[in-house]
Amino acid sequence: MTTIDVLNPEYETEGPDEVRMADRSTPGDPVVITVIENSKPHAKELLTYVAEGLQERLPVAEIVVHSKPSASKPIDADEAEMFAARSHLVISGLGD
Amino acid sequence: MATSFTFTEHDVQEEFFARGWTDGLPVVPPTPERVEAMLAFAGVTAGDVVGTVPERSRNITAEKAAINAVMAGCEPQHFPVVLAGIAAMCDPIFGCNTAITSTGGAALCLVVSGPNLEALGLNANRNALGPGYRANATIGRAMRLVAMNVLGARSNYLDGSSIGHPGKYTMLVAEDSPPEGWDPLRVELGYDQDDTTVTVLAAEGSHQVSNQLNGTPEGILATYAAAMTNPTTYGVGKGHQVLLILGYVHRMILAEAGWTRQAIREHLTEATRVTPAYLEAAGIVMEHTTQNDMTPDADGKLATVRSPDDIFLVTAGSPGAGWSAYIPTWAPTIHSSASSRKVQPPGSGLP
Repeated sequence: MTTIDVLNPEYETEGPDEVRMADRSTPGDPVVITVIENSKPHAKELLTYVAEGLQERLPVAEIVVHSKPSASKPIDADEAEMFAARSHLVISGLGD
Repeated sequence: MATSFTFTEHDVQEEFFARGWTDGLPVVPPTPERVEAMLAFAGVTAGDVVGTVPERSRNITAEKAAINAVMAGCEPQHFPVVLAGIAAMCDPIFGCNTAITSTGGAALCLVVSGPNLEALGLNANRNALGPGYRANATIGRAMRLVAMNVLGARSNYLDGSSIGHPGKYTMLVAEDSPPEGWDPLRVELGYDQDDTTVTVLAAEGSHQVSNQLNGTPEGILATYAAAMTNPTTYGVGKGHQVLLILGYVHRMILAEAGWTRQAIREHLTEATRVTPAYLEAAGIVMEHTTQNDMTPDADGKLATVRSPDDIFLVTAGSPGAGWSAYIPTWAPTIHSSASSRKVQPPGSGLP
């Protein structure tokens, strides 16, 4: 039977050996939550509502809302570093 | 380097279908020899990075581009055009990740402008957007296969299109020589007359524009403006970009009457401004979000295109009756803007 060699058209990369979930723990000190809303209709209201709901479960000191100019544009590296430095929890991601 | 597989010739198509590697149509098996021929023609090496999509943390290498171009049915001479299309698609202004995953279902529409497109086998004349021409069909198809296979924009994975449209299989417009006195698109975009360029737009489906009995420039432009303000198009009143394909009869009437391309674009920019009431009559709800603020300007109207530069005029199509075509981009410019690259001559490397 005739055979044919073909190349893989998909993206290929070596992944990490292990992917771990972030540690699950309940913070004892007041936390800062940053919400990244993507500017789609009602995104800000919905994500802020989620963050406020967490106040019933966590000692929240501050909720910071960051509005992206467009759902299509990612935050840049500087913004990501800033959010990571100042926040204990960042909530992002919203579909249609 | 890409991994390889060995299949029986009898099974190779079914293997590709089963692995989700095709767009639903059969493909040309990407053998190492065929892929190498692509790379050699363009003068690139397998590991060269053609573009990057940061949101996906993925580079598109020349080898992966070549594999998918072979599968699409491209000939090696088409590969530099594919490479330029990929490079344009990866320009941040294009917003590639959203364009290929949005529920809006955009096509990767390529516009090729060059002095000798016939040598590439591209058709800009009769049935300009239709079937029958390998280069038109396969170069556009290669872009979609790259999006699917390299960037993961598959129907069962990251492509969230609610409806999509047939242009998602392939969508390429080759520019016909413009009437005397008009520059081609590439010159309008700042490239040289001798260059060949690719412009990529995240596009809705093509709308044919008919005006067969009104021989006046004003009448034709009024018809274009009517097409461009269809309130069901997402970007109307929100500032998107449009591709307007000027059919033979229409463009000859406009050019012979002394209308310049800039004058046409300026006219249409004004003529496509709409009131909120016009959109609301079609059931459209005014958005007042950060990304789509539909607060009217001082004249009480909203811009469908914010600048004449957001209208891309391309001449294509054959003589006969009065047909043109209008292709709106899928979203306002805050999400995605057209991006262009020069096609490198054979053997000259990356665009």
